[in-house]
Amino acid sequence: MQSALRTVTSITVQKAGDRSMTQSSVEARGGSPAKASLRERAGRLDQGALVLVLTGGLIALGALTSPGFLTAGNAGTVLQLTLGFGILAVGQATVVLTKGVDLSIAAVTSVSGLVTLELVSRGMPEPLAIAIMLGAALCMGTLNGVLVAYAEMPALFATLGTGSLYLGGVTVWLLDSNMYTLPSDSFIAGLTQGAFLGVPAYFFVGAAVFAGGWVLWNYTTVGRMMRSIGDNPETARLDGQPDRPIVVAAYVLSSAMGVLAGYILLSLYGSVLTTGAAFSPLLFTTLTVVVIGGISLSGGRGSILGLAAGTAFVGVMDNLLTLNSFSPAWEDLTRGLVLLGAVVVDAWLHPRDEETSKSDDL
Amino acid sequence: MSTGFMTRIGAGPAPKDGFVLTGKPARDRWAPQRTFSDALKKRWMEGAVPLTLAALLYVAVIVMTPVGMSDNQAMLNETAQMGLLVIGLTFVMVGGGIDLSIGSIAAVTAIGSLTAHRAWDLPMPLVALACPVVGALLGSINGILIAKLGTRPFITTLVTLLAFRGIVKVLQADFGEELAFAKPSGTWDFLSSGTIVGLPIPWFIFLVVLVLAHIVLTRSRWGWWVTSVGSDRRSARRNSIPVERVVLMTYVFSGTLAGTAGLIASARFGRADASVAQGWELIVLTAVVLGGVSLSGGRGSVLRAVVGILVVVALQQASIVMQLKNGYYSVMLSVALLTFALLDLKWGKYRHRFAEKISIDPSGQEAGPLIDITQPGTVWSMNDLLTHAPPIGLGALEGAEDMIIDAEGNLYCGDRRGWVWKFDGPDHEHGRVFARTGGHPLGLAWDLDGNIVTAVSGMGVFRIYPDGRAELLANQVRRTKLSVHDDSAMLFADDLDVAADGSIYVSDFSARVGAAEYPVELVEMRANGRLIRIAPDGSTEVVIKNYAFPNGVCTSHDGESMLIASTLLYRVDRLYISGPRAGELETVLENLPGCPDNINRASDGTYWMTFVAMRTPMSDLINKWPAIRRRMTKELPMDDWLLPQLNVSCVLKFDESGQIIRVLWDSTLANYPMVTSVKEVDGVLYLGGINNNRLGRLVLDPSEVGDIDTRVVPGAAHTAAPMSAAEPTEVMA
Repeated sequence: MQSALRTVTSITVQKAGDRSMTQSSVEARGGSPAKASLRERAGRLDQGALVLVLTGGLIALGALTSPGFLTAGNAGTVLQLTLGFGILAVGQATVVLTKGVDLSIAAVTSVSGLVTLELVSRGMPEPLAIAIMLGAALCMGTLNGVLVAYAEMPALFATLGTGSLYLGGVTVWLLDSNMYTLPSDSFIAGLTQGAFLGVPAYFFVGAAVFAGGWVLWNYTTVGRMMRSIGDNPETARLDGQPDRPIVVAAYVLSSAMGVLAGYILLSLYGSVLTTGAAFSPLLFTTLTVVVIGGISLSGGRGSILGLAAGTAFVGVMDNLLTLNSFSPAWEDLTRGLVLLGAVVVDAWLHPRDEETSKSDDL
Repeated sequence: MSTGFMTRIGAGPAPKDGFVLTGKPARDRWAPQRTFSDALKKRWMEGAVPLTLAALLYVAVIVMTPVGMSDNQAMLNETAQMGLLVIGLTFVMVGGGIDLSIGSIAAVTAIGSLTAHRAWDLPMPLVALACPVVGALLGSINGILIAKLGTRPFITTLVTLLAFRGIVKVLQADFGEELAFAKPSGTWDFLSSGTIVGLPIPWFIFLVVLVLAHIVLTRSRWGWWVTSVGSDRRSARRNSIPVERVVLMTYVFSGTLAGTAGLIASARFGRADASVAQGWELIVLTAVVLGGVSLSGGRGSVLRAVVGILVVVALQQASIVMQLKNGYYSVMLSVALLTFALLDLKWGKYRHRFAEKISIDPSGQEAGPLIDITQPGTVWSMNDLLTHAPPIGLGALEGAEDMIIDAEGNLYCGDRRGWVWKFDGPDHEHGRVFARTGGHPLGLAWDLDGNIVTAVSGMGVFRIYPDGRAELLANQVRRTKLSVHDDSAMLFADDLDVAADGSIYVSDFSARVGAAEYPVELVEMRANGRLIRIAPDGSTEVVIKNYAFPNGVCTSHDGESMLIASTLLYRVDRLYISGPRAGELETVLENLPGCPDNINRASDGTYWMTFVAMRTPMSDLINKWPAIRRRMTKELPMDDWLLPQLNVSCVLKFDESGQIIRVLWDSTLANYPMVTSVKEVDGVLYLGGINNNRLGRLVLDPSEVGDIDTRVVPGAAHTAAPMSAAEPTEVMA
C-alpha cells in the first residue's frame, strides 16, 4: 500500500514537472540505502543467515536453561527428529517455489508406510512392495499436479481434497489392521542403521536430499523454471516455458519425498498407526520449516540454505519444548504461534499487490 | 429525447404465424441447440447445474441406502448445527476468502462453555451469551491477520485451526476431570431439549440465522459489499468500498456463528473432549462447494449452501446407518469436494464460451427452381439502365438506404452515422444534416400529418418533425410468453409504411441479432423476424410472428393491405389490414431470383422493388444443407462466411397480380453496386443503396409514369402535404 502511494505521488510530481522532487521520489522508490524502509532493508537480508543466527540464539538459550541440551546424545535426537520433516520440507518447498502448496504430503507419508507394510504382510517381496508404492506416489503426485496445473484448481483445495482421499482410500480398500510393525530384517529398517565416521548414516540420507534440492534449484533448467513460474506464472507462460508439466513435476517430487520421509520415519520408529489425520502435526511442521526458512508462500523466492536453517530452527525448538517438559497441548499452541508469526512476517515482507492480486488468490 | 421513454404495449389479437411460409416441418419451428444456448446465458444458470447435481446426489443417497424417515430427526439436528458454520463460511467465501478454523473455533466454545460452567462455576446464561462473543473474538484474529496484515486466508486459517485446537487441548488437559462430571443447569436443558414455537432451539436458531443471512447477503448494502469485494477487490477498492473492513467482518461473522455452533454441540451431547468438532472444516467446505458457492469468490447463496449441507449430512447418515468404516465418509467427502470444485471452476469458465459457440443454429431451407437471369431476351435479362443515372450527394453520403421527397421537391435520406440529410429541390445540389437519431435511419415514409417516420436500425421507430426534431415512437413489443430469449426489443427496424388509419407497419428483421450481425440471419435461415404495428396511440403489437427476414413494407394502392418482402424466402406476401379479408395472408410473388428488399408504390398503380442480393446455385445449395453453415460459423470469422451475392443492383416493377413488368440493372456495378430502395416521384426514380456513397436520380420515360402521387397514404381520409407544417412544433423540454 505504501509503495503504491509513493508511486502515485511520483507520477503526480512528474506531471507537475518539478525535477528535484521527482528525483527524490524516484530515489525513494528505488530505495537508496539511507532512506530505505525497515521492510526494504529486512527484505534484502538473507533469511537463511538470519534464521541461522536465530537458531544459534535458541541453542544458546537451550544450553543455559536445559542441562542435557548440549550433549552428543541430544544432538542425535535432534537429528533424528529433524530428518523426517526436513526431507518433507524439501518436497514441500519445491512446490511452494512454484506458487503452490502440497497439503497431501503428510497423507502420502502415512500412506507409504501403511501400504508397503500391508503388501509385505500379504507375502509380497519387499522390493516389489516398495516399487509399487513408488508407482503409487507417482500417480498421487501426478493427480495433484494435474488438478493444480491443468484443471487450474487452487492448490490448497486440490491437495486438501486429495490428501484426505489418499488416506481414506487406503484405509478403506487396503488395510486390515490398526497398527503395522516393521520387520527388523527389512530393507527399510536398514535405511537408518549404521554409522559412518561416527556420524549416523541417516544424517547422510538427509544431507543427500538437501544436496539434491540444492542442485535442482540452482543448477538445473527445470529448477530455474520452477522458480520463475512461481515468481510470475503469466510471464513464464508467455516465455514459452512448459509451465504445466513443470508444476506437475514439482508435485511428483513432493510425493516422492513424502514416500522417502515415510520410510525414514518407519525405519526410526519401527511402526506406524492407521489413525493419521489429513491435518497431521507433520504437515504443520513442514509448513513451518518452509515459511521460517524464507521460502515465501507468494512463490519464486527462497534458498536451500534458508530451508536447512528453518529445519534446524524447528528441530531445536521442538527439542527445547520437550526438554523443558511442556505438555503436548502447550507444544501445539507454541508451534501454532510460531508458524503464525512466520506467516505474518512473510506477508509483511512480500505483501500482495492490491492492484494485481485476485480475489481467489488464497 | 426524454430519458424515461417506455413504449406502450398494445393488447392486439394473437399475431399471425409466418412460419408456415417456410414450408418446413414443424420440428424446425424450434431450434433446440439455440434455446439451450439462450438458457445457458441466463444468470440463474450459474448455480443451477451444481445445485441440480447436489439434489440428485441427495435423492440417490435417500433411495439407494437404508436412510429413511427415522433418521430425519438426527439429520436435521446435524444440519442445524453444521448449517451455522456453512452460513458463516459462505459469507467468507463470497467475500473472496476462506475460513478453515471454524471447526476449531466451535471446539473452543464447546469445551470452553463446559469448562466455564463445570470447572469455573460461572453462571450458565452468561456463559451461553459469551460463546458467540468468544467466537467473534477468535474470528477477528483471523480477520485482522488477513485483512489488516495481508496474510493469505488459506494458510492463516490453517494455522489458526492448529492454534485454536491448541487452546482446546490445553483446556482438556487442565480441566479434563471436572469436565467429566455433568452439572445440572436449566440453561443446558433449555438449549438441548427446549423448544420455541414448537421448534427445537438449534433448529430455531438456525432458521432465524438462515433467513437473516440470506436477506443480508442479497438485500443489504453490506451484503453487496461482500459480493463485490469477492468479485473484484480492485474494483471494490476503487469504488471506495472499505475492503479491509468488509473482509474483517466476514471472518468475525463466521467466527460468531462457529462459536454459537460450538455451544449447541456441547448442549446437544452434554460433553466435549479434545477431538470435538475435528474435521468439521472439511465437511463444511464440501457442503459449501456442493452448494455451488464459487471458490473464486463473489458468487454464492446461503440457501444453496444449505442444500449442500443437507447432501453432506445425508452422506454421513448413510455411512452411519450402513456401518461403513470411518474412511468411507472421508473418501466420499473428498471425492465430492474435488468433483464439485472442478465443476465450479470449469462451469464458471466455459459456460459462456460454450453458449456462444452453439448460439447459431442453422436450419435447412429449400428454394424453388432458380430463374436464370443471364439468359438473354427475358424480362429478367441484365441491362445497364441504371448505370448512368446522375448521382446526388456523391461522397457526402454514407449508406443512404432509403429516401423521401416532400411537396416542394426537397429530398431527405438516412446516413449510417445516424443522420437524416436534406437536399434542396429541385436539383438536389446542396444538402445538409437535417436531423440526428443516433442509429442508422433505414426506411422512411410520410405520416398522415406530413411528418417523416423512419425505421432506425438499433433504435426503433422515430418521427421527425419539420423543424428537424427527432422523437422516438416505439422500441419495444410484448415479450413472447415462455420464450427463453428476451425478444421484447425492436433490434432491427428495417422498413415501414403508414396505413390509412395512421398506424405504422414496421418490419423488425430479427428478434435476435442487431445490425452489425445481420450475416447471422442470412446463415441461420430461420424465421426470426416479425411485422409490428404501431397504433396511432403509440402502442405496439406484433402482427406477424416467425416471419423469415421481413424487409420491405408497403401499403397497397387500395390501402386495404400491406405488401411484405421476405429476404430469406425470395417472396412477397400481402397482409390484408382492412376490408372483408382483413387478417388474411396471401402470396404475391414467390420463387424470385434474388433476395427482395424495399417495396414502394409506383405512379402507374404498380410497385417498385429492389433486390439486396441474388440467389446463385451455390447459395441455394448451402441454404439447403445446414451442417455446412453450422461448421462455417464455428470455424470461420464472420467476415469469411459464405453469403448470398450481395453486390447487385437490380430494380424491378410488378403489378398487383404479381406479374413482373420490368427489370432495371446496373450490370457494370460501377456506380450503383447495391440498390436497396427506390422511390418514384414526379417522373423521377430515386435510387438508394445501403452501401453506396450516393443516391441516384433516374428520369423515367413519360410513357411509364402514371398520375398517382406516391407520397399520399392510400385510402386515408385526410393527408397533410409533406413538411407542410408552417410553424415548427414547440420543442418540448
